[in-house]
Amino acid sequence: MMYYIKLGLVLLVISGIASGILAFVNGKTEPIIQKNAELEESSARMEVLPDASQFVLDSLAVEVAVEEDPLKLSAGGAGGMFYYYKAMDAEGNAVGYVFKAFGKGYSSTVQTMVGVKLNPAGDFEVNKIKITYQSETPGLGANCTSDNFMSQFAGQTPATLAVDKDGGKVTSITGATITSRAVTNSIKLGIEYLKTATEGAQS
Amino acid sequence: MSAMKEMTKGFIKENPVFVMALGMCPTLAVTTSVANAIGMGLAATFVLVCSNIIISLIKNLIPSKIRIPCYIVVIASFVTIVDMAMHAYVPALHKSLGLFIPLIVVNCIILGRAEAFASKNNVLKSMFDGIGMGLGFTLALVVLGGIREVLGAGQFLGMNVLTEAYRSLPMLAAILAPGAFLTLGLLMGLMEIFKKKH
Amino acid sequence: MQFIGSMFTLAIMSIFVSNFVLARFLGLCPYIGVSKKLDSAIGMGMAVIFVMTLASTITWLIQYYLLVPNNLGYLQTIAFILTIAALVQFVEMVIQKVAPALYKSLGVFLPLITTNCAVLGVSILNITEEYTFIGSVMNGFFSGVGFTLVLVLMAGIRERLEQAEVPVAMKGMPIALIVAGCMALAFGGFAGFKI
Repeated sequence: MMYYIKLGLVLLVISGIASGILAFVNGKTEPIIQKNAELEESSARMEVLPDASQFVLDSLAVEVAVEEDPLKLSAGGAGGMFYYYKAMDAEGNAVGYVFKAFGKGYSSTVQTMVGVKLNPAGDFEVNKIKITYQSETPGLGANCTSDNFMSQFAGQTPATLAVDKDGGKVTSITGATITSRAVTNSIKLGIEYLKTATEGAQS
Repeated sequence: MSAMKEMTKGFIKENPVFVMALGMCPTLAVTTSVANAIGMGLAATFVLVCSNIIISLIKNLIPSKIRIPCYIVVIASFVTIVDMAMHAYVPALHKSLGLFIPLIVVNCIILGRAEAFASKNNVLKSMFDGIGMGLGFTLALVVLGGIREVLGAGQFLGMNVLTEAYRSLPMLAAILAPGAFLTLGLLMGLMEIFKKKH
Repeated sequence: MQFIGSMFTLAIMSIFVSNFVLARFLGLCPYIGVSKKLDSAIGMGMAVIFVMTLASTITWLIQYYLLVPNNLGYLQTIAFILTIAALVQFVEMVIQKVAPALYKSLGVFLPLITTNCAVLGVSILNITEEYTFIGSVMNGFFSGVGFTLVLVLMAGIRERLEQAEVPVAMKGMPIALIVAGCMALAFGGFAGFKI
């Protein structure tokens, strides 16, 4: 009996030391990880709308159109809220909006930072996009981070935002229609939310 | 000079992947690019060296009945440290290796070396054994990752090495799952021929 | 009705589309190592289904009732692997006492399962893919079924390969990997499959 207690104690001591060390390392790295994530977000915002220098967070309660999967904890994304940033230049003039779009791709939820501007016709127009998170198939869907794919979104309006198979102007990635469609449709949906949000503010 | 020998045996003669066929999961999963292969290889090397050192230090303190759980705790701690450090300092690499960082814990190479080598040898020897095995593992990953990246994307370490015409229509299968199995199978066959010749 | 629908989707996804061995590259060591004979492949497969289902159940509970409330997320890896190791030991002891006949056929495979990355893999995936409790248990079970399916198929092929004339250098591991590559190509046909 004593022998087994001793075994348990040895294991307990080793696990205790290990947890202590891990807690220490976690305390050191946690703030860096968070700072990195924030930095990445804000630099992505700057990248998709280079004219702007300040961003103000705003949100809109929306009815999330995606169907809930009863086997998953949440449907992913913003959970009923649509968050967007009003972008302004150094003098405080509005230059556009930035938001994050979530689209369910083939093997992951693809997150895209989208910068939009109002074009002379008074319609929203994509300025630039940047895929901030994806874990799609390497060599296929993962190519959505290539400049070839991302750059073609510049200047698109909701009317043209659809992949070529669906009659739009976005050339989908070879062999990865699901990923291309996920990105494109999530951007289009985001712009629609943005329209509702800004119209609400004006009236 | 025996320490040197402990180190170099891991490169070719006892290469953990090509000869001993250990640690297959990360070998096949993360070698879609050379950058991933190097990241994975070095992360595993770090864990292997540290756990080899600690285990050979404490080998006399642990009752043999619970040595495996103790080894697992030591290995898991180092894996978690690597996981957190990579998340903090190389977030992009951390993202692309994803699930396979925590899975270093169950990489048979590491537990295998702990049980077969570190629990029987002194600290210095165990350290060199860890370095050698780790670098051998890294070497195997880089060779495999290099072949797959060149064939599947026309690039090496993200730099274009093949013509534009090839890159627009590469041999995608090399980067996808089947390519991983086929490339490793053929490489092992080549190793076999190489061994016969010598 | 929707529940049954998602259950069916999950089953198809984890058995065929993102098969643990051929698409996710998990559990390769037993896949290559224990697939020489059909009998042992079936035994190993059953043991893996059993342990993966149990491990998914218990690690999910540990994550959401022990680690998350206490802010101990960073102990995930260490907690999960210790749980799995203890679980495998425990299962081994119980089966030995309760069903000696079953122990005879499964017993030798159980210790191997602790270092099978498919078990730790499914536990972590359940958390990162945000499955509910029921979802996790099912994901564990169906992923185990997917693993068993390709393991048994592989064993069937390798039993026949014994009779075939293979180049000397390719005998054993190399040809097994080539076969696995062909199977991955076949399963690649499921890719992009959505319900």
